[in-house]
Amino acid sequence: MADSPKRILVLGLGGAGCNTVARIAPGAPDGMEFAVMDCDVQTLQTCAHIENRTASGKAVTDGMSAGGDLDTGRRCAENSAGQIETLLSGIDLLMVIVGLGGGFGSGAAPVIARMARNAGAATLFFTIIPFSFEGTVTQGKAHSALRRLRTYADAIVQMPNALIQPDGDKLLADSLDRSSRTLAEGVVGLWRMLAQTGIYNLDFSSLQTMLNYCDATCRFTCATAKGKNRAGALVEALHAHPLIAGTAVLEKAPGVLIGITGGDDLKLSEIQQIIEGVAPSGETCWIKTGVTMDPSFTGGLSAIVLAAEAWKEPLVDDGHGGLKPASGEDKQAELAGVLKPRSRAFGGSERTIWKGEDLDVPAYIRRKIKLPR
Amino acid sequence: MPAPLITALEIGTTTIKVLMGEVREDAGLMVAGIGESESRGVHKGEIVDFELALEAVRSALETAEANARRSIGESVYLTASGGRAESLLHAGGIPVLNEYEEPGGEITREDVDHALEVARKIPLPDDRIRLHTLQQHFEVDGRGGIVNPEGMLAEELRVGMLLVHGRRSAVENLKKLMQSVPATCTDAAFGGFCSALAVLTLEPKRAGAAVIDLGGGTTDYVVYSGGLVKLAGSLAVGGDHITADICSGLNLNRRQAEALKKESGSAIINRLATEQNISIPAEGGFSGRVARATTLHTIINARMEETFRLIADQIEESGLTGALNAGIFLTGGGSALEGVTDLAQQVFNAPCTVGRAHDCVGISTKKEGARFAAPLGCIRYAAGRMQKKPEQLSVGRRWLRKIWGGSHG
Repeated sequence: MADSPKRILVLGLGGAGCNTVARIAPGAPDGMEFAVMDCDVQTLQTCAHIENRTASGKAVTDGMSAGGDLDTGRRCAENSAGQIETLLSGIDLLMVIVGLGGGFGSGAAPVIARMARNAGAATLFFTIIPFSFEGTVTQGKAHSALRRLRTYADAIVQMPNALIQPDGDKLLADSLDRSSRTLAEGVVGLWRMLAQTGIYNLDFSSLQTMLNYCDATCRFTCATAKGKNRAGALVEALHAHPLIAGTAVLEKAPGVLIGITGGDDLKLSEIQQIIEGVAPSGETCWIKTGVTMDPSFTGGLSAIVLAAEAWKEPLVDDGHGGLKPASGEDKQAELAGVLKPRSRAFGGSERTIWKGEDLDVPAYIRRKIKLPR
Repeated sequence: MPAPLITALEIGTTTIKVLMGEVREDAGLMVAGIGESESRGVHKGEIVDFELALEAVRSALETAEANARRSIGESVYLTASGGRAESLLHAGGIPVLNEYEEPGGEITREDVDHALEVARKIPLPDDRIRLHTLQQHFEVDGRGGIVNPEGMLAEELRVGMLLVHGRRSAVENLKKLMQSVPATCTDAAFGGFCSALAVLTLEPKRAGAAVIDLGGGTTDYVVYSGGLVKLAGSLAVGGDHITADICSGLNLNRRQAEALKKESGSAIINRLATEQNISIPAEGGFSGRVARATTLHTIINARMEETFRLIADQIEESGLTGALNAGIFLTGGGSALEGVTDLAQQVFNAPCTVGRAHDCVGISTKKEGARFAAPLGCIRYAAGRMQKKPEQLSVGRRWLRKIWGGSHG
């Protein structure tokens, strides 16, 4: 296993996710793997150039969309569990791009996250949060999906639509282009960081450390600069990135991951300048830097910064649909929580599991008996 | 010498029952006192709130003492219904030696005792505790079905043991509760086994019978064949589950659901009365409603049929399907549910009846016999243990028995 490179898959989930992946894929570097999944056949037709397409939940929606229903989305994903497992097998890092607030994306994302975790893949979710003008219901759905997602995903990058759109009167095409470009920079930048061996190597385990402790929410910023004072310009551009502009995320972050890519003319002083300009001031901050040299970047500089919003013990499902910090040895506690879920209806006593069936769930529900009303 | 007074305590999920009684010389059971209290802090037969449960146990014991006008005395026998009891069939044996220590010889009393002792030593995981080791038939040189091998010539003597085991923490917490009462817990017996002792006479035990104790939080079952216990176990599914199902199916609170289950519940769906309605009285600011009886019965039927089916599967796995000639005996609070015997009859394809405690005075066996089967049987079990002429057992043996439990059945 030591010799095989780590496999990273970028998965577009649901309408928004598929569209974004369809935009990113043509301009992506070689060797990057993409996949799209939706229950709507029409969406999948628009990304015909992506080879790896999965139509989920044929039996549930018959190729139609989930109709904005979370539950339908979840059932679709659960229905095509076999396909998802095949898709995830051998993947080390799963980057999912998903637009929350709809049906399939919001419903399926937690299922995929859980399955990825079971398959041993780290998960990084780029979630697109809907505009506030899309209504409180959509916003509420996005938030409840986010909450479910936090249980299983290793990290979630939230990208409110309102932040990544340009100001003023722009054409719709431009807006969409801009938002997917922002996403693409992040996804591709991160991929490049992990896929290439650098001088200061930013490897997979550093990312995983970050993912485990970042309380499932993080922000990212990326920028490229050229010219004489390129390091200074880069730092400025990083701070001006729409996702973090105007906030103190970078200053307050308890953990950051900095990836720098430069050409043959990269100087040590420039690296120093970038790290000093970006790194938070706190002494207890966890900083990991990676530097990669790429001849095609000669004359320019590129950096990506992944900043954790909070630094906590990894959270685990407490069996009541909520979350709790894993105490001490997180793996153990998590396992115990999974093996011995408590039942709420019976005073918190242990659930009655009989040959894999939860007998505490009403018999008529499990056996799908329709109650005469 | 008068028969000693035995106190049996059953800590159930719905009620805590205390029975004080004695077994007379003619094997008749005389109940001297009954105590009962609503159980709290117990779910699925296991303690979830120690203080609440302790209070309820104390109150039940006090009621029984007042009722019998006697003190509960030294020893209390406990029936453990929870703890996810399971049974395990295991055989152990010894080579039989003659007086020159050569293989092959006459089986002596010592050989029999030795074989029983070896067979009892069944390894268990640390989190399980043995409740009973019930002796099966002997096997002499590979020939089975031998009741008493003493005096036979053989090279090898084997004996089967049915080990009934429960979860250690569940049983030990019950015992700890007794210490806090304070009372001495002499022994703990499996609830299903106790129920069987109360309702089964020798005849159905020989013919083959199953006793199913439908409790509030657990369903215990014991299967007899050829006079011996062949299978025992406990499912952590009970009357509470029916109530919870009704809660979710009809959108009622727990108390309403419980009342509805008791008043109008039925385990079978009456196809002729599909239009029958049940009115649910107004409560807590909500106006009253009308529900269809069929809906309620469908919910209960689904749960009960499943529970019986799971037990039937266990019986089938053990190869005892055809052996239930005497039928199914239902005990416990759940046996009061309408139509439950009819449903069991359908599922098990065997005659089914509500079990009645035999040879009892001092309690209305017709009205309360099924509900009190477990503590009644526990008194019988305790009396049986006491009759085992303790003076014949060596000190070490008695100690072993204390740990491993009795072997009669």
